[in-house]
Amino acid sequence: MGSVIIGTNKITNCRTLVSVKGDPLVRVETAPLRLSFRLPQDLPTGVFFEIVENEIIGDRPPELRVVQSSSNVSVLWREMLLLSATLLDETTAHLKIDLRPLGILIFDDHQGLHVGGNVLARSSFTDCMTAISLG
Amino acid sequence: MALSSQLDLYLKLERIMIDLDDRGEPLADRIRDLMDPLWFSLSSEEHEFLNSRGEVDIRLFYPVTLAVVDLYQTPSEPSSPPVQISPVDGVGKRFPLREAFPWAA
Repeated sequence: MGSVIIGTNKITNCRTLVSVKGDPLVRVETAPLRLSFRLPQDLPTGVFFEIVENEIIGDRPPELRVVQSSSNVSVLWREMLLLSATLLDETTAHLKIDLRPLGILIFDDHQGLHVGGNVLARSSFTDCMTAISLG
Repeated sequence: MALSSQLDLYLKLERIMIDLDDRGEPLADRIRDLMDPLWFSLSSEEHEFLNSRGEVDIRLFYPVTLAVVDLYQTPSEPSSPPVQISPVDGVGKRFPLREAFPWAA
């Protein structure tokens, strides 16, 4: 599964990076680079979409774009970057995440990974089923 | 752009028309009617010139300039060694749902 660097944290051999109420929200796999993302279906905004291994599944909202190359997969919502996974080497990817445009308080910056009012920084997760679980 | 005789005439009539118009003279409308055929005899370049008068591109005078006194800061350095998270029941870190989903109960 490789490693994913996200907001100064390193997540290694974890199947799911973030889950919500037990359902995977974000997954990143390396070699080749694959990004999966599934919104919870009960968002008050009514927005829902699912991306499985870089491909939009089902109805594609017009605001949603997935742009990919061999070393990067980016997901944009209304031209705002939600996710950007970049392959650093064969086993390591970097993930930039900002779900605030969707009303979800998860984003990363130089301080760490912000989950609501919490900041996860310089932590190393290894061999988890889910690195970060919400709910 | 070189001033053609037609454009020169148009501008002269325009000055007279504006002057009469300012004074509330009805003759201004007659002059305006005289200007119409002249307008159609002008080239597209001359139309563009006439239409661009009075337009001021404010960006030429005030390009976007931000005063940011704290643009350059000391880079943040790691203040603590990396922390190893040991998974519990397969999960590394747990947060209440409402942390990221403020509307969640």
